[in-house]
Amino acid sequence: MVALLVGLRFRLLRRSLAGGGRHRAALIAVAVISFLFTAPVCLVMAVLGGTDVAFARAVTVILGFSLMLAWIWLPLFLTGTDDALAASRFALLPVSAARLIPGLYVAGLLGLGSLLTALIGIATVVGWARSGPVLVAALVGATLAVVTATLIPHVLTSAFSGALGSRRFRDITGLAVVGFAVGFTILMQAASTAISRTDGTASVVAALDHTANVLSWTPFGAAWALPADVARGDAAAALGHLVVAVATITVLVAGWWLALRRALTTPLDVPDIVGRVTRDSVIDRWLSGSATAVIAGRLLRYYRRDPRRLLSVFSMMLAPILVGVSVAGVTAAGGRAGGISLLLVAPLLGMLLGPTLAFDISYDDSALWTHITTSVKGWEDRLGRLLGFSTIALPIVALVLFMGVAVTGSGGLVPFGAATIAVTGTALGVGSHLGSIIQVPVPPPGSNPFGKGSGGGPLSVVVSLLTIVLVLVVSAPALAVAALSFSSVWAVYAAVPVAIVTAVATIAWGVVTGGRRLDRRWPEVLREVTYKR
Amino acid sequence: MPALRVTNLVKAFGDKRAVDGLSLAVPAGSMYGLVGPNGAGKTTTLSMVTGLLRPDAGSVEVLGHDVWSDPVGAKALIGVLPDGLHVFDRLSGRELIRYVALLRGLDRRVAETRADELLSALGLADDAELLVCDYSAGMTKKIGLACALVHAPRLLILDEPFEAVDPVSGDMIRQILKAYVSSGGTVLLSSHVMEIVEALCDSLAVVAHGRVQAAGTLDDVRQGESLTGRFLDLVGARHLESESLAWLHSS
Repeated sequence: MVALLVGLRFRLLRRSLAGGGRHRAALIAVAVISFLFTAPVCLVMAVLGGTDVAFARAVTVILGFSLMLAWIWLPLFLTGTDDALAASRFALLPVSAARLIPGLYVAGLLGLGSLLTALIGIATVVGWARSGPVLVAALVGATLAVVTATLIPHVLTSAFSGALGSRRFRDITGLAVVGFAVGFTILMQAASTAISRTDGTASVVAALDHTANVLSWTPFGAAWALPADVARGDAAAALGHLVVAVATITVLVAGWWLALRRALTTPLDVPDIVGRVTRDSVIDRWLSGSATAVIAGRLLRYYRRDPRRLLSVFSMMLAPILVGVSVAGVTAAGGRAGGISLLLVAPLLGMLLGPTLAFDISYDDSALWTHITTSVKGWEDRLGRLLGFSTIALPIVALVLFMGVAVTGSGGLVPFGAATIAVTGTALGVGSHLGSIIQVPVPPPGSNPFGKGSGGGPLSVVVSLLTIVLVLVVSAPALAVAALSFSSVWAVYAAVPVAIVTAVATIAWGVVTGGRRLDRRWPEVLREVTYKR
Repeated sequence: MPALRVTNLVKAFGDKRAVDGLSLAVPAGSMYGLVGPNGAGKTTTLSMVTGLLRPDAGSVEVLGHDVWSDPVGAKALIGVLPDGLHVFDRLSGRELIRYVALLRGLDRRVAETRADELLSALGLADDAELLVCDYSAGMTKKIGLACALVHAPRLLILDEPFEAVDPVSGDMIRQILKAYVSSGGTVLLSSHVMEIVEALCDSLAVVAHGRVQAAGTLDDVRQGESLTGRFLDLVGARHLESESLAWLHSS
């Protein structure tokens, strides 16, 4: 069974590498980028041998813990799990969950994420090669940690796969996981900040040490603390951490087994009557009957009713908020005012509107034929989506901006407000344009929103990065004026108008050029967004 | 002038020529059947006829409008029910009809009344406020047909309209289509159920290997045989050899 599943996974991998040039290029780009991100982490872990034990411990535990968190929330908006090996696909075969688990686990290890995690694990062992016993502890700890990390996506996906039953339940659980991931991360940040504050320590090292103390007793931090315990000769702590780490793995495997068993016996999505929608909603009364307005109105409905789109909005909000809160937390722990980073959240969020809007057409899947057969103009499609999406997204961006200003004082309003307008507008324009050129594979309608179709992950990362680069280039002049408004008076008056002009011009460009592109290539776009089974 | 004229249509996917020089003329006011075995190229042909798939060669003309050089003019005249494509299924049945009607450029009030009439004609009035993703396969077919009809097209192109439809709904659809044809509309429908085509259509084309093998009125094609028998002759029936699958015989 193990050999069979691993063989299957190998064939799928080989096919995805042999497939279309664009996908392979995206896959390679993502691999290179992830290596660039992982290499410094490995380097830091590996050179810890020369530093003092307390510092080395703090770095290992915090970085290791963050790695585990990455395994929880990176799949939300990056690669996701390949649903080729989803549990429900085995439902018709006479196999038990217990027989599937080893094979699925080993097959799941054949991936970029597992490889990079293993590299980090090896680097940790190198860094803790202080003495024989410590080396052994590091080896045990790193192994436990890597096993825990690579188990997380299995547990998450089989627990929340379509097999769990009703669609409504899935909608809610999907959001619950995101909420949990956000909440958990923010809570950890807040806790570490609070702890370092109560001790009155200004030193970063002391703050890190306290954070590591707390994290080492959590399920995702325990394994990383093992080598330090042995190095200090603290047998009780070592035993405690070992118990926590092993218990974590046990619980994860048990959870996976339970979820898998249920998925194998209730594979079919039982249709549940979700209830009726109101016959005449506000959306219809407020909007005109033009194609643009009608498409915008559908988008407004879909952002409420389509869990995949809901999830895309949530994961769009996740990254900037995590960045903002983390940076604010760390700088505050270091005794400096970290408020300014909260102001960065709004423009960062505005930037991510670009990729999210660009992906929207893919979520329609083959239902897009309706637009083609009714002769919707390309620009109507582009503008309709933009307006519908903006109605949801712009209030969030504005709210985040004003929250940042409220915390840090009104001085940031003009520069950061202007930057937010410029970046958000250009992101919407660039997103409209790119969405008509590249259609990223997404999970098909009604499927598990955590799956990403087959191999859409790398392409979506590349499109996101492309959007961000384009947005930065196009909005650079407006951003420069916004930055100048800190120091010169004319720029205070010029910043917002320049930002608005940049935003409106880019949106107009994106809608017109993207629309023309669609007009020329509707049938090809339809083929591209249709989910390939 | 025929309602639909297809000339030398070609579409290849890689090495496989799914449609290989297919020509077809559907007379105005006819109920025209397109039959063929699985993989004959029916759906590929209909996708090219409706402007959803770009042909490699050949032309498609709907009442004088070329689908690929005058798409807006041609598409305004046709109503489409594709097979195997999603609909916007997170809309309710009523919202979906309204959506299509408004995109077709109908007035809001007209869209509203037509949605009402179509929903009750197709027996969906009680489920009009339910999301289409909660519909059964048959109900989804019916709502698709409603969307195809809402702008009163001159030519209806239906891919497997009776698949997954229960007998009661099937009869309802048959009645609607017959009334539509008798008032001057033209229907082109694909099916691989010969009985349906034999009972409903006045003309048909048998398609296999991406080409038309026989076309004309029902009697022309049948040549005195049953349609099923003639069809098997045309596409080449295969007989199971007596030795194969011997292990299946349980006694």
